[in-house]
Amino acid sequence: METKISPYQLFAIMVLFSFGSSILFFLTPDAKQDAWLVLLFYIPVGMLEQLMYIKLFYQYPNDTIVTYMPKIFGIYIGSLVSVLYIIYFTYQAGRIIRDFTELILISSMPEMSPFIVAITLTIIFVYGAFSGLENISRAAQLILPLWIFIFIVLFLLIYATPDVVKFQNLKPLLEKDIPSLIKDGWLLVTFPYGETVLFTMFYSSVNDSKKVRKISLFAILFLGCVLSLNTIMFITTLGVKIATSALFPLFESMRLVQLGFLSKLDILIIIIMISGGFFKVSLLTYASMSGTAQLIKLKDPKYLAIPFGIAIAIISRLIAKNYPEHIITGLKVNPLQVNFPIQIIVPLIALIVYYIRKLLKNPKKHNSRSSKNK
Amino acid sequence: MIKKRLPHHEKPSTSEPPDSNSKNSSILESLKNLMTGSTTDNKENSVSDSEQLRPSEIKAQSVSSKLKENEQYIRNIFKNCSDIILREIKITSNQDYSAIFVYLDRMVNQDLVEEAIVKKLVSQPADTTHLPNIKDYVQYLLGIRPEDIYEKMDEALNAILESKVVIFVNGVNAALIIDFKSPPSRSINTPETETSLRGPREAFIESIQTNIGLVRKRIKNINLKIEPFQIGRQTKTDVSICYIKGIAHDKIVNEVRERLNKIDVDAVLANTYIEEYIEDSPFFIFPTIFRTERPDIVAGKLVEGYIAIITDGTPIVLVVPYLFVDSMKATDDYYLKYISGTLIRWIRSIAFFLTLTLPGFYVALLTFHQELIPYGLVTTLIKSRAGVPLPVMWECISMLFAYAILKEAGIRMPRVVGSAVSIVGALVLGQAAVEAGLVSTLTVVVVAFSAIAALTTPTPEMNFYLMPPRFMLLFLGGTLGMLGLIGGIMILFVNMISARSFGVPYMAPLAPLMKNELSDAVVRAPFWSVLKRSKLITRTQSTRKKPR
Amino acid sequence: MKKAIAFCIIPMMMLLSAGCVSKNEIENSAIIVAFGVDTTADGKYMVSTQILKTSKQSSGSGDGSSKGEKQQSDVISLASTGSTLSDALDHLSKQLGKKLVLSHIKFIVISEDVAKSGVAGLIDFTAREYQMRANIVILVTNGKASEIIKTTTPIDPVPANAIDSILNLQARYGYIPVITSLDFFNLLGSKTAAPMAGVIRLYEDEQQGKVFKLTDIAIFKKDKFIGYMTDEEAVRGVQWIRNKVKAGNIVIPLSGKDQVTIQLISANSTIKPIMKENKPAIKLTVQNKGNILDMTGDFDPMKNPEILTEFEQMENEIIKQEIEKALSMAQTTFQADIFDFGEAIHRDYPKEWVELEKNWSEVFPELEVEVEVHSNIKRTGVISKPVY
Repeated sequence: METKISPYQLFAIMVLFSFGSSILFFLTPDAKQDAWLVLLFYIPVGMLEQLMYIKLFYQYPNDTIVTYMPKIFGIYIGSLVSVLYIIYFTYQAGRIIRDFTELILISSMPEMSPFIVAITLTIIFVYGAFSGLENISRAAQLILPLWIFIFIVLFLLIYATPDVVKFQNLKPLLEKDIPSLIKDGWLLVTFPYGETVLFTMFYSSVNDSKKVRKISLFAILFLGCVLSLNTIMFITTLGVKIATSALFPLFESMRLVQLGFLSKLDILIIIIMISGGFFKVSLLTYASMSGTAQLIKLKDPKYLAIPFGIAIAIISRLIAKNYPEHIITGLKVNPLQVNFPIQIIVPLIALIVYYIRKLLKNPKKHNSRSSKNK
Repeated sequence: MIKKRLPHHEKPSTSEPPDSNSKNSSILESLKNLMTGSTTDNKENSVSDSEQLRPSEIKAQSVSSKLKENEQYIRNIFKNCSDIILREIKITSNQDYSAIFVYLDRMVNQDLVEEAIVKKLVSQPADTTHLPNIKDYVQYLLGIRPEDIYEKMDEALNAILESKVVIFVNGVNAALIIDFKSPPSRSINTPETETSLRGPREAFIESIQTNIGLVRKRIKNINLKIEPFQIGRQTKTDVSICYIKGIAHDKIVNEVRERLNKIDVDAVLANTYIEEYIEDSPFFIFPTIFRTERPDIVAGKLVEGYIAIITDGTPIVLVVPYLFVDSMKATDDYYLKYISGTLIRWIRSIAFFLTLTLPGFYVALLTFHQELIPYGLVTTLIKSRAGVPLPVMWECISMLFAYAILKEAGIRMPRVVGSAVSIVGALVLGQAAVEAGLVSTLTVVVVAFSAIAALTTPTPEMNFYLMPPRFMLLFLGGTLGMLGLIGGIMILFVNMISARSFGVPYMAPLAPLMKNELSDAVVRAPFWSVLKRSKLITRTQSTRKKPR
Repeated sequence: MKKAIAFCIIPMMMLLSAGCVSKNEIENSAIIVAFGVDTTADGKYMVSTQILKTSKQSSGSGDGSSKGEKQQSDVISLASTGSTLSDALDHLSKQLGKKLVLSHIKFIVISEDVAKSGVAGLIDFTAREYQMRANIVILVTNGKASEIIKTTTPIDPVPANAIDSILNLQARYGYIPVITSLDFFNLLGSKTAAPMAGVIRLYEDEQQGKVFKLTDIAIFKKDKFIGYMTDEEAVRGVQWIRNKVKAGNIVIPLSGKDQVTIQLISANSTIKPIMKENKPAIKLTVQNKGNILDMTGDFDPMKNPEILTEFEQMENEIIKQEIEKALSMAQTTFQADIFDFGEAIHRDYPKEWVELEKNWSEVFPELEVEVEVHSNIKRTGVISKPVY
């Protein structure tokens, strides 16, 4: 019954999960043409976050964040924290459904009812959660090369289209000094790098736990580099002005491809969008499902997909009245009030508490502990 | 628990007319195994039909030493079975030694019976006038194996039903069995549905023996194991599983055995009866069991570690496990040089994808996403759509429906009228409908392309399996546009990934990705480069051939 | 079983009812390939559109003859008015029972009146509307935009295609600038640059009636039109500076009546901002290669290759002249930074730019531009000596 995924599958889901939505947006618009540099600057930060999660995981190699929190904080506070995480994953899934609903409505079907779009997306995405982590990661394994292939093709096409790519748009380099750039990009800590807190739910499912650290750090590095390249493409094709003001710059820039009969490649973008959203939401939903199952000691989380699916669809409609409100919540309110504590502070405190406990216990039961560890 | 055993226990013998038993069979070992292992009572089988004999009654009966009693018993059991033949002879023409031999008409080789039984037994050897041990005399004269001598009546009756000749000798409380079976069957033909350009021209026929022979002919190996089963309460159809021991994975073989043992049905007249009982997930759209009518394919699969299930009475052999990549492979790939073989495989995969998605894609573009249509196409499209009464989704659905009807008619119609009907179909649906403005030309092109692309899949049935998802995607594309279409594809895709065929992931080696397996999945690698057998099927890394 | 049926039917009904709402089937949609914007007397916008015909090409010959000798066209043009551009387009529904599809628009023609009153709303609309792509070409006309949209051409049954193919060619030739809405948007967003657009005009032709011609540049300041640059040499000069000349001819007058035509095969120009004693300057380098297309006179370049060097010198001068003409017009006549030199300086001297940006309108007219042209004549065609 135990689901096991291979390290490469972990890599695939990590990359696709993080790309899912971050590739659509122009991250750190304040940094203007240096946004791609900021993305690179924050790779080590993302890696540090990742190291923190993995440090925690290595202390409890058979537990997920939901099950080791009670072990660290004690059963009452710990369970509360675990429930908090489950709620966070569900809420996040709802947010992403909303993101994609709006994206589809804005970019291709403005007259469609948002309810229908949200429900359709939920059905598609939650079906993935229903089929389980193993199948999601297998799908990811197959789709990741496809994604990369599509991106390479699109990049080549856009660079081959005459008069579209203007590398001079990247200049002036470092218009602002580095500290202020880093200040501009601090949101990157929570999105996209901080989102990987989700994978604390999945590390224990990897069949080769030694490789987890290497693989996840590599995934972060890969993610940072590709996002940086992606941002370079936005700036060179659209110019800083449009790139920062477009809601979905990926969509806009890909629309510029016009190479003989090869035009209107937005279709590929829609494919990328929906498949990216698929991994994002299905992984989040699966995390909250399996987290709940682990908390209430349920054997098979499969059928929890239905209540969680309904909840996610409802959340996605309730969180905001209109798109700007949704975005403001996502960019201004959530990072400080939700993402930062959940993604960084709680794991950090957990780690500290763990070490304090260890220190307190160590002098007394040193021998028994060390033997237990072995 | 009784139900899980072979159905045959519950009714080892019946008084059903033997025409339903006309399947030839053998497999004594299995029968014996099953017999010995089954002392369970069969009360629950006491069928309301009082005509049917209770198996326990027959079981209790042992062969009498009195010939008359045996004869009476058999005549009684085979009452109203006109195809049973009882012949009495006098051994060495001596009035004291009478014997009866029983067999089913037209199911044994009549010439051999005359030649090898009647003549031998009746003719009097020069030196003997008295036989001290009649049983030994008959046994050694006819060369009957000791295990072919039954003391129980039910075994003898089964032997008769399996079209063997059963000899009862007066004074001997045992039945002697000789296998001269030769049930009516046709001769080996060329394959009809799975044609190949350059492959061998033999196809399976309805006889299980011939079919096993066709496979055995290609694999001269002691490790080729053929395990017999009997399935079907009434029909007692012979089913054999073939595999090469040491190559096929034991776990999968066991799985197949178990699943076959679980089947409890009245009749197995074709292998579909078995197929639906042993499938992994009954709701999965695509087949997880491969069928073929060509022994060369079966032999090729067997040496790769697959397991074949041969059913008597069907010229089709089932091969498990069956994965998605297998459905993209055709034998012709292997009879062509590897570069063209690979290319053709890719084209086939693209065709598979297009046949599923093209109508849906076309409809989604025309109903929702005009902005995605390339400029050059827009002018053509807009003109071809002018004045067409139906919305494009319904137009496509009705065209696909018409195509399905045509296809169905094409299969059923007699050959004589075939060409006339197909001409009418093509003209009416294609040309006339377009000219009358009922459908647009581009829809016809799209539907026709999708229909033709479906035919590229090497398995002929795939054509039918592709229909439901195609309609589904078409519907989604027409109601929700690209969102629906891509969502549908995603769901289909995840569904395919979650499916299993006898425990092997259906989409393997693509998902989960297995790098070493791709050489015969994505490309058709040259024979000399594929050194290892598929680990997916054999589960152990086994070497196909030593590197040069 | 009932559950299963309900499970299938309910989503299907939902889909059907929901899908129909936003359904926009191609036979019920009007595909607009180009539109023009005019102002009406009461200050509203008038939009004239070119819409692809949905009906089949007139089903019989009888229909064609009734229309006389006029070229059968595949488009219909309709116009409507409204207070904003999108409002005007919306009012088309009064005349046309079809939904508008804006995704296949090739170009937008703006009349001079509209351009004078400002095009910010229009550019915003093209960027905001989800169907419209960013590479729609912006054109300005001196007359009425509706006239341009209405005019049919014998070249192509869809007049927009004819103009589009001219634009595609001009993207290489550089007789007019091809400015897309994306370029316009970026120039408009910059505090210092001045947008411009190509100009389309209608001419009376003796044989064909009305024909289009793309010439000249319309210069904007902010989003308002300020004037035309009509001088042919200056127009190409602008294109030289923008590095848009990739093909075309250069005629070198020689002594007497003799002339040499050089066909450009490749060209490249680079702008490099430099700081001269704390004052910004631009260094413009143009490099080009060409072949001789025709020439008269008494020389044989095959025997005397030095003559080509002489031609190259003269070609350099001509190109330089074109560029300087363009520069002087931009700097003195219009005082508009259509070349976006400001951005170029910003790229290389971001710190100095902070100061310069504030008074760029004073700096730009005085900006020193060094022009350097390197021409290279490669081949002389299939004959060597002029025939005469």
